[in-house]
Amino acid sequence: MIRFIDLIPGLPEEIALECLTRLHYSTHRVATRVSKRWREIIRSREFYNYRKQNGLTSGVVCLVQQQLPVHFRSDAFKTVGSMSFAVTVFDPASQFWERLDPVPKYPDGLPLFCQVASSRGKLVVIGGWDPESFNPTAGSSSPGGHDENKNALSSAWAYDVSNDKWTELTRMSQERDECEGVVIGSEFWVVSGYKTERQGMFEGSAESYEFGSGEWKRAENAWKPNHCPRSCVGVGREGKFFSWADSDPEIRVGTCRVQIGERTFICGSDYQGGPQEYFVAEEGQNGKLRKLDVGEEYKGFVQSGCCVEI
Amino acid sequence: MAIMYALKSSDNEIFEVEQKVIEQSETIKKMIEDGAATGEIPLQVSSKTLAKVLEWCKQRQHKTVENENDDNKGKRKKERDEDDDIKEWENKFSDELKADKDVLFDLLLASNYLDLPALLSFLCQLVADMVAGKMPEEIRRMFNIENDFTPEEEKAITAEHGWAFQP
Repeated sequence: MIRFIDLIPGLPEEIALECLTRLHYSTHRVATRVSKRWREIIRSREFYNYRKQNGLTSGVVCLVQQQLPVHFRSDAFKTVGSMSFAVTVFDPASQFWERLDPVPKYPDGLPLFCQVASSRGKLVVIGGWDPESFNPTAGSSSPGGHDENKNALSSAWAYDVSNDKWTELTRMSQERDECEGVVIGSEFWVVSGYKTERQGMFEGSAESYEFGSGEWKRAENAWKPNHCPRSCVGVGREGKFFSWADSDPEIRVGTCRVQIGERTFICGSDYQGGPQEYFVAEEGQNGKLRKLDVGEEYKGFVQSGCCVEI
Repeated sequence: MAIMYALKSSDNEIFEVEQKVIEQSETIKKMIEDGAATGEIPLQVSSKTLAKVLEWCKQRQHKTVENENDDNKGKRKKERDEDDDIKEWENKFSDELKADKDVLFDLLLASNYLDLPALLSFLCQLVADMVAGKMPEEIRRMFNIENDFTPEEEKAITAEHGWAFQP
């Protein structure tokens, strides 16, 4: 016989549920160990969806970041050559920084050049090179990029997280290695990139994919030519693209931006291999930046970043 | 002259309350609109709990009225001071409830029965905040929740890490 155990004895089911949905995400792990029903509910898709719909989730920044040795000093930056990457989490509400435990499959660090994206509260790590053998891991790309022989690609792929399935979209108008994908409303924009024979000479064009019709629309003069768009494309007024790399000299190299609601979180460094500095821009403040005070262990190179709603 | 209503608790205590204060309760508002509220309004809420409910409603009513009367001049500072006052009041209100779980649960049930969404939401958040920073065993003890994990299951879930293996 199945015994029905109250979620919280003394409270009706719907009120107990209301209480659980208000738990802060940092309490979820411990809360799943309280009882079988707490565990089942907190881990369910419905629980997440309900919290999301009712504005009870919080947006945090997740970064794939180079891990620096413990005895690290800024002035000794160049001498440190650790190639080990891990996920760093920053919660803008609590200003709390945290480094996550390694993914069990990669105890010595995440794949090199891997990218992160998020979907419905989950962090998805895509692609990269195995840190040991430097061979590409399975399932990289989307959109553009290049093949094993450095030929630029014009293909774009969409990944369905729930079904773990990649689907190829129609071809773009041209090859775009090192391009950047940006979602604006119902359109997926691919900004800049370069053709095989034009290594590193970034295009000024962009194109947008309409998910309904499955068609690409090309736009010229959408991006400042010869500037790398990777992780630094911002969308300004009237949908015009700009580069966050131009926003402050301290973050002009290896710029990485993460959008969290009306805030943009930007990091980068002053010179190649320099320590990462962090800024926050609030919407409607004319791109004014506020610098964040960040601990030395979070000054390592940032490879990719995204916002996760948890 | 404010319209007053008489509320009768389940243990027969009478509370005289202004209409505006008590209309925050959708349940009572409906009773008044339906004309069912002549004389005393009987409620299935104890006098101890009802006193707490009314304390909350009066505080909320106070806040709304003052905001309406404000003109824009000097509003910001005044608002800040008021926000501080409200925060202080809320903290005191919360601390009393956190210290007595039975009162908290009675109040939760009453806010549900009287249909006071703001109070219900506030109290649910309070319960959630009480869970934060505690170990599973402490949470179970606090709410009398039975541990239905076997020792083996408990060992396994304590050891698990946060990463899911999806290819």
